[in-house]
Amino acid sequence: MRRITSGTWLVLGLFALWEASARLGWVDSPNWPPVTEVVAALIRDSITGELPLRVGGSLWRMFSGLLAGGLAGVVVGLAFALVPVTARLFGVVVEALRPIPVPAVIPPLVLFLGLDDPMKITVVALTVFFPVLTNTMQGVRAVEVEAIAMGRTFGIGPWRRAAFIVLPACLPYVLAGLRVALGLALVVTVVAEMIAGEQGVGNYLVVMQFAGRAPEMYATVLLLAALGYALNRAFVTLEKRAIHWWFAMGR
Amino acid sequence: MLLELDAVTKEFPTRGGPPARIMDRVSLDVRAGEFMAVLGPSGCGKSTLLQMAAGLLPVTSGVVRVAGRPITAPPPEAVYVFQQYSRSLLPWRKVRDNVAFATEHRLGRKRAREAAEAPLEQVGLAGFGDHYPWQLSGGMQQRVAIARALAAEPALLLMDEPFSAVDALTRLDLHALVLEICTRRRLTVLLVTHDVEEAITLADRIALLTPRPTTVAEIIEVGIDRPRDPVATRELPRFLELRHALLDRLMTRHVA
Repeated sequence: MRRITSGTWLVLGLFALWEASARLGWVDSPNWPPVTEVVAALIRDSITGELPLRVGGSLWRMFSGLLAGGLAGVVVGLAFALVPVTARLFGVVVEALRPIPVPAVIPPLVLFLGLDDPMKITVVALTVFFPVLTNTMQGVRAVEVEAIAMGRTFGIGPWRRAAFIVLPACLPYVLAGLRVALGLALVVTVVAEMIAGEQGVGNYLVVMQFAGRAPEMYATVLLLAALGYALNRAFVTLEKRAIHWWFAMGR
Repeated sequence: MLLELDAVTKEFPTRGGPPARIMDRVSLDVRAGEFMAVLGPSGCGKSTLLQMAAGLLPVTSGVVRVAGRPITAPPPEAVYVFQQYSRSLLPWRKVRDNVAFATEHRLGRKRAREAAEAPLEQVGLAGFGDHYPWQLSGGMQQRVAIARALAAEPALLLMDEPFSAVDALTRLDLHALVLEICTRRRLTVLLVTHDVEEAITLADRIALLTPRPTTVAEIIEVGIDRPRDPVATRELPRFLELRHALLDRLMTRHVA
Protein backbone atom coordinates (compact mmCIF):
# COMPACT_ATOMS: atom_id res chain seq x y z
CA MET A 1 0.00 0.00 0.00
CA ARG A 2 1.24 3.45 -0.86
CA ARG A 3 0.92 6.11 1.78
CA ILE A 4 -1.87 8.59 1.29
CA THR A 5 -0.32 11.81 0.04
CA SER A 6 -1.17 15.33 1.15
CA GLY A 7 -2.93 15.92 -2.19
CA THR A 8 -5.32 13.06 -1.49
CA TRP A 9 -6.00 14.44 2.00
CA LEU A 10 -6.94 17.77 0.41
CA VAL A 11 -9.47 16.08 -1.89
CA LEU A 12 -10.96 14.19 1.08
CA GLY A 13 -11.06 17.44 3.05
CA LEU A 14 -12.96 19.18 0.25
CA PHE A 15 -15.46 16.32 0.17
CA ALA A 16 -15.90 16.71 3.94
CA LEU A 17 -16.46 20.44 3.50
CA TRP A 18 -19.02 19.69 0.78
CA GLU A 19 -20.85 17.25 3.05
CA ALA A 20 -20.86 19.69 5.99
CA SER A 21 -21.96 22.66 3.88
CA ALA A 22 -25.02 20.74 2.68
CA ARG A 23 -25.90 18.98 5.97
CA LEU A 24 -25.44 22.03 8.19
CA GLY A 25 -27.23 24.36 5.80
CA TRP A 26 -24.22 26.58 5.00
CA VAL A 27 -25.38 26.40 1.42
CA ASP A 28 -29.14 26.30 1.50
CA SER A 29 -30.34 25.12 -1.90
CA PRO A 30 -32.29 22.14 -3.22
CA ASN A 31 -29.55 21.90 -5.87
CA TRP A 32 -26.74 21.31 -3.36
CA PRO A 33 -27.10 17.75 -2.06
CA PRO A 34 -24.56 16.29 0.38
CA VAL A 35 -21.74 14.35 -1.28
CA THR A 36 -22.91 11.11 0.36
CA GLU A 37 -26.19 11.38 -1.54
CA VAL A 38 -24.27 12.03 -4.72
CA VAL A 39 -22.16 8.92 -4.17
CA ALA A 40 -25.30 6.95 -3.35
CA ALA A 41 -26.81 8.10 -6.64
CA LEU A 42 -23.62 7.14 -8.43
CA ILE A 43 -23.72 3.64 -6.96
CA ARG A 44 -27.44 3.28 -7.69
CA ASP A 45 -27.12 4.27 -11.34
CA SER A 46 -24.09 2.07 -11.73
CA ILE A 47 -25.94 -0.98 -10.41
CA THR A 48 -28.96 -0.41 -12.68
CA GLY A 49 -26.53 -0.35 -15.59
CA GLU A 50 -27.75 3.05 -16.79
CA LEU A 51 -24.47 4.92 -16.22
CA PRO A 52 -22.04 2.16 -17.32
CA LEU A 53 -23.99 1.80 -20.55
CA ARG A 54 -23.84 5.53 -21.23
CA VAL A 55 -20.16 5.81 -20.27
CA GLY A 56 -19.40 2.88 -22.53
CA GLY A 57 -21.20 4.59 -25.42
CA SER A 58 -19.41 7.88 -24.81
CA LEU A 59 -16.02 6.16 -24.61
CA TRP A 60 -16.71 4.24 -27.79
CA ARG A 61 -17.50 7.45 -29.67
CA MET A 62 -14.51 9.21 -28.14
CA PHE A 63 -12.03 6.47 -29.06
CA SER A 64 -13.47 6.10 -32.58
CA GLY A 65 -12.99 9.83 -33.10
CA LEU A 66 -9.55 9.70 -31.51
CA LEU A 67 -8.48 6.89 -33.83
CA ALA A 68 -9.87 8.52 -36.98
CA GLY A 69 -8.60 12.01 -36.18
CA GLY A 70 -5.25 10.73 -34.90
CA LEU A 71 -4.61 8.63 -38.01
CA ALA A 72 -5.61 11.50 -40.27
CA GLY A 73 -3.36 13.89 -38.30
CA VAL A 74 -0.35 11.59 -38.59
CA VAL A 75 -0.87 10.86 -42.29
CA VAL A 76 -1.48 14.49 -43.25
CA GLY A 77 1.37 15.66 -40.97
CA LEU A 78 3.80 13.22 -42.60
CA ALA A 79 2.62 14.25 -46.06
CA PHE A 80 2.91 17.98 -45.30
CA ALA A 81 6.39 17.59 -43.85
CA LEU A 82 7.81 15.07 -46.34
CA VAL A 83 6.10 16.16 -49.57
CA PRO A 84 6.24 20.00 -49.60
CA VAL A 85 3.81 20.28 -52.52
CA THR A 86 0.98 18.86 -50.37
CA ALA A 87 1.61 21.55 -47.73
CA ARG A 88 1.52 24.25 -50.41
CA LEU A 89 -1.75 22.85 -51.78
CA PHE A 90 -3.68 22.11 -48.58
CA GLY A 91 -1.85 24.09 -45.91
CA VAL A 92 -4.00 27.19 -46.29
CA VAL A 93 -7.24 25.20 -46.03
CA VAL A 94 -6.02 23.53 -42.84
CA GLU A 95 -4.94 26.84 -41.32
CA ALA A 96 -8.31 28.38 -42.18
CA LEU A 97 -10.24 25.54 -40.52
CA ARG A 98 -8.05 25.31 -37.41
CA PRO A 99 -9.31 28.43 -35.55
CA ILE A 100 -13.00 27.45 -35.78
CA PRO A 101 -14.20 26.48 -32.27
CA VAL A 102 -15.26 22.86 -32.64
CA PRO A 103 -18.67 23.25 -30.88
CA ALA A 104 -19.54 25.80 -33.59
CA VAL A 105 -19.42 23.14 -36.30
CA ILE A 106 -21.85 20.89 -34.42
CA PRO A 107 -25.06 22.58 -35.71
CA PRO A 108 -24.08 22.37 -39.41
CA LEU A 109 -22.77 18.82 -38.94
CA VAL A 110 -26.11 17.81 -37.41
CA LEU A 111 -27.80 18.84 -40.67
CA PHE A 112 -25.55 16.57 -42.70
CA LEU A 113 -24.78 13.68 -40.39
CA GLY A 114 -27.76 13.61 -38.03
CA LEU A 115 -27.79 13.49 -34.25
CA ASP A 116 -26.08 10.21 -33.61
CA ASP A 117 -22.69 8.52 -33.81
CA PRO A 118 -21.49 9.73 -37.25
CA MET A 119 -21.84 13.39 -36.23
CA LYS A 120 -20.25 12.93 -32.81
CA ILE A 121 -17.35 10.83 -34.04
CA THR A 122 -16.68 13.40 -36.77
CA VAL A 123 -16.63 16.22 -34.21
CA VAL A 124 -14.15 14.36 -32.02
CA ALA A 125 -12.00 13.46 -35.02
CA LEU A 126 -11.88 17.13 -36.07
CA THR A 127 -10.80 18.11 -32.57
CA VAL A 128 -8.06 15.50 -32.45
CA PHE A 129 -6.79 16.13 -35.96
CA PHE A 130 -5.16 19.53 -35.39
CA PRO A 131 -2.90 18.96 -32.37
CA VAL A 132 -1.76 15.64 -33.83
CA LEU A 133 -1.07 17.27 -37.21
CA THR A 134 0.99 20.09 -35.67
CA ASN A 135 3.01 17.75 -33.48
CA THR A 136 3.63 15.26 -36.27
CA MET A 137 5.04 18.01 -38.48
CA GLN A 138 7.24 19.24 -35.66
CA GLY A 139 8.38 15.67 -35.03
CA VAL A 140 9.39 15.17 -38.66
CA ARG A 141 11.50 18.33 -38.51
CA ALA A 142 13.28 16.90 -35.47
CA VAL A 143 14.31 13.69 -37.26
CA GLU A 144 18.11 13.57 -37.62
CA VAL A 145 19.27 14.17 -41.19
CA GLU A 146 21.91 11.48 -40.60
CA ALA A 147 19.17 8.93 -39.94
CA ILE A 148 17.49 9.68 -43.27
CA ALA A 149 20.82 9.69 -45.15
CA MET A 150 21.65 6.39 -43.45
CA GLY A 151 18.51 4.88 -44.96
CA ARG A 152 19.45 6.20 -48.39
CA THR A 153 23.01 4.87 -48.26
CA PHE A 154 21.64 1.36 -47.63
CA GLY A 155 19.34 1.70 -50.63
CA ILE A 156 16.14 1.90 -48.57
CA GLY A 157 13.31 3.51 -50.55
CA PRO A 158 11.26 6.56 -49.50
CA TRP A 159 8.16 4.63 -48.29
CA ARG A 160 10.22 2.33 -46.14
CA ARG A 161 12.25 5.27 -44.81
CA ALA A 162 9.01 7.04 -43.85
CA ALA A 163 7.67 3.96 -42.09
CA PHE A 164 10.82 2.74 -40.36
CA ILE A 165 12.88 5.88 -39.74
CA VAL A 166 10.68 9.00 -39.80
CA LEU A 167 7.56 7.59 -38.14
CA PRO A 168 9.29 5.95 -35.14
CA ALA A 169 11.55 8.99 -34.73
CA CYS A 170 8.61 11.38 -34.49
CA LEU A 171 6.44 9.05 -32.39
CA PRO A 172 7.30 10.93 -29.16
CA TYR A 173 5.95 14.11 -30.74
CA VAL A 174 2.86 12.34 -32.09
CA LEU A 175 2.12 10.90 -28.65
CA ALA A 176 2.53 14.31 -26.99
CA GLY A 177 -0.04 15.64 -29.47
CA LEU A 178 -2.35 12.69 -28.79
CA ARG A 179 -2.17 13.32 -25.05
CA VAL A 180 -3.41 16.88 -25.54
CA ALA A 181 -6.01 15.54 -27.99
CA LEU A 182 -7.23 12.92 -25.51
CA GLY A 183 -8.23 15.57 -22.98
CA LEU A 184 -9.95 17.64 -25.66
CA ALA A 185 -11.69 14.55 -27.05
CA LEU A 186 -13.45 13.82 -23.76
CA VAL A 187 -14.59 17.43 -23.47
CA VAL A 188 -15.90 17.53 -27.02
CA THR A 189 -17.63 14.15 -26.76
CA VAL A 190 -19.58 15.33 -23.71
CA VAL A 191 -20.38 18.70 -25.28
CA ALA A 192 -21.65 17.07 -28.48
CA GLU A 193 -23.81 14.70 -26.45
CA MET A 194 -25.19 17.62 -24.44
CA ILE A 195 -26.12 19.56 -27.56
CA ALA A 196 -27.61 16.86 -29.74
CA GLY A 197 -29.13 13.42 -29.55
CA GLU A 198 -30.08 11.21 -26.62
CA GLN A 199 -26.86 9.31 -26.15
CA GLY A 200 -24.05 9.16 -23.67
CA VAL A 201 -22.96 10.78 -20.43
CA GLY A 202 -23.35 14.31 -21.75
CA ASN A 203 -27.02 13.77 -22.52
CA TYR A 204 -27.58 12.10 -19.12
CA LEU A 205 -26.09 15.15 -17.43
CA VAL A 206 -28.52 17.50 -19.19
CA VAL A 207 -31.52 15.23 -18.62
CA MET A 208 -30.79 15.02 -14.89
CA GLN A 209 -30.42 18.79 -14.75
CA PHE A 210 -33.81 19.31 -16.40
CA ALA A 211 -35.39 16.70 -14.11
CA GLY A 212 -34.06 18.54 -11.08
CA ARG A 213 -32.23 15.45 -9.88
CA ALA A 214 -29.22 17.16 -8.40
CA PRO A 215 -27.52 14.06 -6.89
CA GLU A 216 -27.51 12.28 -10.27
CA MET A 217 -26.24 15.40 -11.99
CA TYR A 218 -23.29 15.79 -9.61
CA ALA A 219 -22.66 12.05 -9.75
CA THR A 220 -22.15 12.40 -13.49
CA VAL A 221 -19.76 15.31 -13.04
CA LEU A 222 -17.73 13.36 -10.47
CA LEU A 223 -17.66 10.36 -12.77
CA LEU A 224 -16.37 12.51 -15.65
CA ALA A 225 -13.62 13.93 -13.44
CA ALA A 226 -12.53 10.42 -12.47
CA LEU A 227 -12.76 9.28 -16.07
CA GLY A 228 -10.58 12.13 -17.36
CA TYR A 229 -8.00 11.47 -14.67
CA ALA A 230 -7.92 7.72 -15.36
CA LEU A 231 -7.65 8.21 -19.11
CA ASN A 232 -4.67 10.53 -18.72
CA ARG A 233 -2.91 8.19 -16.28
CA ALA A 234 -3.48 5.22 -18.57
CA PHE A 235 -2.13 7.17 -21.52
CA VAL A 236 1.03 8.20 -19.67
CA THR A 237 1.65 4.58 -18.69
CA LEU A 238 1.23 3.38 -22.28
CA GLU A 239 3.41 6.23 -23.56
CA LYS A 240 6.26 5.29 -21.21
CA ARG A 241 6.13 1.76 -22.62
CA ALA A 242 5.82 2.71 -26.28
CA ILE A 243 8.73 5.17 -26.29
CA HIS A 244 10.80 3.93 -23.34
CA TRP A 245 13.94 4.71 -25.41
CA TRP A 246 12.97 8.38 -25.53
CA PHE A 247 12.70 8.62 -21.75
CA ALA A 248 15.82 6.49 -21.25
CA MET A 249 17.81 8.93 -23.39
CA GLY A 250 16.68 11.72 -21.08
CA ARG A 251 14.91 13.68 -23.77
CA MET B 1 38.96 2.19 -60.62
CA LEU B 2 36.18 1.53 -58.15
CA LEU B 3 35.48 5.21 -57.48
CA GLU B 4 36.26 8.12 -59.78
CA LEU B 5 35.59 11.78 -59.18
CA ASP B 6 35.99 13.60 -62.47
CA ALA B 7 36.26 17.42 -62.28
CA VAL B 8 33.64 17.57 -59.53
CA THR B 9 32.53 21.10 -58.74
CA LYS B 10 30.10 22.14 -56.02
CA GLU B 11 28.38 25.46 -55.63
CA PHE B 12 25.88 26.48 -52.97
CA PRO B 13 23.38 29.27 -53.58
CA THR B 14 23.87 32.38 -51.48
CA ARG B 15 21.30 34.98 -50.52
CA GLY B 16 21.29 37.62 -53.22
CA GLY B 17 24.85 37.12 -54.43
CA PRO B 18 26.39 34.73 -56.94
CA PRO B 19 26.61 31.05 -55.89
CA ALA B 20 29.52 30.21 -53.59
CA ARG B 21 31.94 27.76 -55.20
CA ILE B 22 33.23 25.57 -52.40
CA MET B 23 34.78 22.87 -54.56
CA ASP B 24 36.55 23.43 -57.84
CA ARG B 25 37.14 20.61 -60.33
CA VAL B 26 38.19 17.94 -57.86
CA SER B 27 39.42 14.77 -59.57
CA LEU B 28 40.25 11.68 -57.58
CA ASP B 29 40.59 7.97 -58.42
CA VAL B 30 40.28 5.27 -55.81
CA ARG B 31 41.48 1.83 -56.96
CA ALA B 32 39.71 -1.34 -55.93
CA GLY B 33 41.15 -2.60 -52.63
CA GLU B 34 42.82 0.69 -51.86
CA PHE B 35 42.51 2.72 -48.67
CA MET B 36 42.54 6.40 -49.51
CA ALA B 37 42.42 9.18 -46.96
CA VAL B 38 41.24 12.68 -47.80
CA LEU B 39 43.02 15.15 -45.57
CA GLY B 40 42.28 18.81 -45.39
CA PRO B 41 41.90 21.82 -43.12
CA SER B 42 38.55 22.10 -41.33
CA GLY B 43 35.86 23.83 -43.35
CA CYS B 44 37.35 22.81 -46.70
CA GLY B 45 34.31 20.74 -47.65
CA LYS B 46 35.65 17.25 -46.98
CA SER B 47 32.23 15.99 -45.90
CA THR B 48 30.61 17.58 -48.94
CA LEU B 49 33.09 15.75 -51.14
CA LEU B 50 32.32 12.43 -49.47
CA GLN B 51 28.56 12.95 -49.67
CA MET B 52 28.85 13.56 -53.40
CA ALA B 53 30.96 10.43 -53.74
CA ALA B 54 28.20 8.55 -51.91
CA GLY B 55 25.45 9.87 -54.18
CA LEU B 56 23.83 11.60 -51.19
CA LEU B 57 24.44 15.10 -52.53
CA PRO B 58 24.17 16.18 -56.18
CA VAL B 59 27.25 17.63 -57.90
CA THR B 60 27.01 21.04 -59.57
CA SER B 61 29.17 19.85 -62.46
CA GLY B 62 31.51 16.95 -63.11
CA VAL B 63 30.88 13.22 -62.78
CA VAL B 64 31.09 10.65 -59.99
CA ARG B 65 31.56 7.08 -61.21
CA VAL B 66 31.31 3.93 -59.13
CA ALA B 67 32.57 0.76 -60.83
CA GLY B 68 32.54 2.72 -64.08
CA ARG B 69 28.90 3.86 -63.88
CA PRO B 70 28.05 7.53 -63.40
CA ILE B 71 25.89 7.85 -60.27
CA THR B 72 23.18 10.31 -59.19
CA ALA B 73 21.83 8.28 -56.25
CA PRO B 74 23.52 6.09 -53.60
CA PRO B 75 25.02 3.11 -55.49
CA PRO B 76 24.59 -0.41 -54.10
CA GLU B 77 28.39 -0.88 -53.87
CA ALA B 78 28.95 1.93 -51.39
CA VAL B 79 28.02 2.51 -47.77
CA TYR B 80 28.51 5.78 -45.92
CA VAL B 81 29.63 5.79 -42.27
CA PHE B 82 28.64 8.94 -40.42
CA GLN B 83 30.65 11.08 -38.07
CA GLN B 84 27.69 11.41 -35.69
CA TYR B 85 27.15 7.71 -34.99
CA SER B 86 24.58 8.49 -32.28
CA ARG B 87 22.38 10.27 -34.82
CA SER B 88 22.60 7.60 -37.48
CA LEU B 89 21.77 4.73 -35.09
CA LEU B 90 18.07 4.19 -34.42
CA PRO B 91 17.52 4.48 -30.65
CA TRP B 92 14.27 2.48 -30.66
CA ARG B 93 16.03 -0.55 -32.13
CA LYS B 94 18.31 -2.88 -30.25
CA VAL B 95 21.89 -3.22 -31.49
CA ARG B 96 21.09 -6.39 -33.45
CA ASP B 97 18.10 -4.76 -35.14
CA ASN B 98 20.14 -1.67 -35.98
CA VAL B 99 22.63 -3.88 -37.81
CA ALA B 100 19.81 -5.85 -39.44
CA PHE B 101 18.33 -2.58 -40.70
CA ALA B 102 20.99 -2.48 -43.41
CA THR B 103 19.70 -5.64 -45.06
CA GLU B 104 16.15 -6.38 -43.91
CA HIS B 105 14.59 -4.63 -46.91
CA ARG B 106 16.38 -7.17 -49.08
CA LEU B 107 16.58 -10.29 -46.89
CA GLY B 108 13.48 -9.94 -44.72
CA ARG B 109 13.51 -9.37 -40.98
CA LYS B 110 14.38 -12.89 -39.85
CA ARG B 111 17.31 -13.51 -42.17
CA ALA B 112 18.64 -9.99 -41.66
CA ARG B 113 18.70 -10.56 -37.89
CA GLU B 114 20.59 -13.82 -38.34
CA ALA B 115 23.01 -12.13 -40.72
CA ALA B 116 23.67 -9.40 -38.14
CA GLU B 117 25.53 -11.73 -35.78
CA ALA B 118 28.68 -12.14 -37.90
CA PRO B 119 29.43 -8.41 -38.33
CA LEU B 120 28.69 -7.79 -34.66
CA GLU B 121 31.20 -10.46 -33.74
CA GLN B 122 33.71 -8.99 -36.17
CA VAL B 123 33.60 -5.59 -34.48
CA GLY B 124 33.91 -7.20 -31.05
CA LEU B 125 30.30 -6.77 -30.00
CA ALA B 126 29.17 -10.40 -29.85
CA GLY B 127 26.74 -10.61 -26.95
CA PHE B 128 25.67 -6.97 -27.18
CA GLY B 129 22.87 -7.59 -29.68
CA ASP B 130 20.13 -7.15 -27.09
CA HIS B 131 21.42 -3.82 -25.79
CA TYR B 132 20.11 -0.52 -26.99
CA PRO B 133 22.71 1.77 -28.65
CA TRP B 134 22.32 4.43 -25.96
CA GLN B 135 23.33 1.89 -23.34
CA LEU B 136 26.78 1.64 -24.96
CA SER B 137 29.83 3.92 -24.92
CA GLY B 138 30.62 6.18 -27.86
CA GLY B 139 33.30 3.84 -29.19
CA MET B 140 30.95 0.87 -28.98
CA GLN B 141 28.23 2.83 -30.76
CA GLN B 142 30.61 3.58 -33.62
CA ARG B 143 31.42 -0.16 -33.71
CA VAL B 144 27.68 -0.83 -34.12
CA ALA B 145 27.60 1.65 -37.01
CA ILE B 146 30.60 -0.12 -38.60
CA ALA B 147 28.96 -3.52 -38.09
CA ARG B 148 25.83 -2.18 -39.77
CA ALA B 149 27.90 -0.96 -42.71
CA LEU B 150 29.63 -4.36 -42.98
CA ALA B 151 26.27 -6.16 -42.89
CA ALA B 152 25.44 -4.58 -46.25
CA GLU B 153 28.63 -6.21 -47.62
CA PRO B 154 29.78 -3.11 -49.49
CA ALA B 155 32.72 -3.03 -51.86
CA LEU B 156 33.32 0.61 -50.99
CA LEU B 157 33.25 2.17 -47.55
CA LEU B 158 32.95 5.96 -47.32
CA MET B 159 33.88 7.15 -43.85
CA ASP B 160 33.26 10.72 -42.69
CA GLU B 161 35.59 11.46 -39.75
CA PRO B 162 34.21 8.38 -38.04
CA PHE B 163 36.64 8.49 -35.12
CA SER B 164 36.59 12.19 -34.33
CA ALA B 165 33.93 11.98 -31.63
CA VAL B 166 35.67 9.36 -29.44
CA ASP B 167 38.57 9.65 -27.00
CA ALA B 168 42.18 9.05 -28.08
CA LEU B 169 42.54 5.49 -26.74
CA THR B 170 39.21 4.39 -28.18
CA ARG B 171 40.31 5.90 -31.48
CA LEU B 172 43.43 3.69 -31.53
CA ASP B 173 41.25 0.64 -30.82
CA LEU B 174 38.98 1.58 -33.71
CA HIS B 175 42.01 2.13 -35.99
CA ALA B 176 43.18 -1.40 -35.20
CA LEU B 177 39.70 -2.70 -35.91
CA VAL B 178 39.41 -0.91 -39.26
CA LEU B 179 42.91 -2.00 -40.33
CA GLU B 180 42.04 -5.61 -39.59
CA ILE B 181 38.61 -5.56 -41.23
CA CYS B 182 39.79 -3.83 -44.39
CA THR B 183 42.61 -6.30 -44.85
CA ARG B 184 40.37 -9.29 -44.22
CA ARG B 185 37.49 -8.12 -46.41
CA ARG B 186 39.62 -6.43 -49.10
CA LEU B 187 37.48 -3.34 -48.73
CA THR B 188 38.02 -0.18 -50.70
CA VAL B 189 37.86 2.80 -48.38
CA LEU B 190 37.64 6.54 -48.81
CA LEU B 191 38.17 8.14 -45.40
CA VAL B 192 37.76 11.82 -44.72
CA THR B 193 39.71 13.17 -41.76
CA HIS B 194 41.54 16.18 -40.42
CA ASP B 195 43.74 13.94 -38.26
CA VAL B 196 47.16 13.60 -39.95
CA GLU B 197 48.26 10.62 -37.85
CA GLU B 198 45.01 8.81 -38.52
CA ALA B 199 45.45 9.31 -42.26
CA ILE B 200 49.03 7.96 -42.26
CA THR B 201 48.18 5.04 -39.97
CA LEU B 202 45.28 3.81 -42.09
CA ALA B 203 45.78 4.87 -45.70
CA ASP B 204 47.70 3.69 -48.75
CA ARG B 205 47.42 7.12 -50.33
CA ILE B 206 46.54 10.51 -48.94
CA ALA B 207 44.79 13.19 -50.99
CA LEU B 208 45.69 16.56 -49.54
CA LEU B 209 43.06 19.25 -50.10
CA THR B 210 43.49 23.01 -50.26
CA PRO B 211 41.28 25.52 -48.39
CA ARG B 212 38.17 26.78 -50.24
CA PRO B 213 37.51 26.67 -53.07
CA THR B 214 38.75 23.15 -52.52
CA THR B 215 41.00 21.37 -54.99
CA VAL B 216 43.36 18.43 -54.63
CA ALA B 217 46.77 19.90 -53.77
CA GLU B 218 48.72 16.66 -53.91
CA ILE B 219 48.36 12.91 -53.67
CA ILE B 220 50.91 11.26 -51.41
CA GLU B 221 51.92 7.58 -51.30
CA VAL B 222 52.17 6.48 -47.68
CA GLY B 223 54.45 3.55 -48.45
CA ILE B 224 54.23 1.75 -45.11
CA ASP B 225 53.89 -2.04 -45.33
CA ARG B 226 50.83 -3.94 -44.17
CA PRO B 227 49.76 -5.41 -41.85
CA ARG B 228 50.18 -2.32 -39.72
CA ASP B 229 49.88 -1.92 -36.01
CA PRO B 230 48.34 1.40 -35.02
CA VAL B 231 50.83 1.85 -32.17
CA ALA B 232 54.09 0.63 -33.74
CA THR B 233 53.41 2.36 -37.06
CA ARG B 234 53.66 5.69 -35.28
CA GLU B 235 57.31 5.07 -34.44
CA LEU B 236 58.47 4.36 -38.01
CA PRO B 237 60.79 6.93 -39.63
CA ARG B 238 58.48 7.10 -42.66
CA PHE B 239 55.52 7.89 -40.40
CA LEU B 240 57.39 10.72 -38.68
CA GLU B 241 58.65 12.12 -41.95
CA LEU B 242 55.14 12.16 -43.45
CA ARG B 243 53.64 13.56 -40.28
CA HIS B 244 56.13 16.40 -40.32
CA ALA B 245 55.57 17.20 -43.98
CA LEU B 246 51.77 17.04 -43.81
CA LEU B 247 51.43 19.07 -40.62
CA ASP B 248 53.72 21.66 -42.13
CA ARG B 249 51.44 21.91 -45.16
CA LEU B 250 48.21 22.02 -43.12
CA MET B 251 49.14 24.39 -40.34
CA THR B 252 48.36 28.01 -40.98
CA ARG B 253 51.29 29.39 -39.04
CA HIS B 254 52.14 31.89 -41.75
CA VAL B 255 48.66 33.42 -41.50
CA ALA B 256 48.82 36.11 -38.85
